[in-house]
Amino acid sequence: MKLRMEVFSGDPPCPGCTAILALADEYARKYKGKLEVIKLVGQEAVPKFEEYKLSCVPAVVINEKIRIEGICPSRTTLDNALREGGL
Amino acid sequence: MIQVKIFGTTPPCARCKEMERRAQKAAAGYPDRVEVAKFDALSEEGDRYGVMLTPTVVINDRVVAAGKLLSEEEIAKYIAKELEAAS
Repeated sequence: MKLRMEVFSGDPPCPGCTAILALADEYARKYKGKLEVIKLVGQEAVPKFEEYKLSCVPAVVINEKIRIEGICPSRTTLDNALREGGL
Repeated sequence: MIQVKIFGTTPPCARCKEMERRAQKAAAGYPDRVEVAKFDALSEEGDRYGVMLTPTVVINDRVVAAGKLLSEEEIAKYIAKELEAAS
């Protein structure tokens, strides 16, 4: 089963959000077929942002579990989060 | 009434949230004399002030900071200055 990674960014994106959006694209390519990457930016992100009770962006939710919030993670941290998520 | 407007991203990033929190704390020192409101940077209100960076702080229609996190003391100083000018 594909792992689902939702990446939240503010609009306009601050440097952390710009970095996490680039990382999301990189990981979508890296784990093509294994990972579903969904980018949620600005107003379109608000319903899910509230549903998960997030408090700030950037944020990463993997299979509906909040893994990262308020910071753009390093690749190692994101890899660990994905591993914990079952990748 | 002194109006403090905080312009940030949607959803909020950590810096924009912190800016709003500091503004609320600074305003608490002047009960019933200061109003703090949060706005989306990409809004009509944001266009009115030419908001290009977040967080942006506007006090009584004057942009006092853009892309910079002001301290609670700095905001309080701006508020005091406005109150002094108004009296």
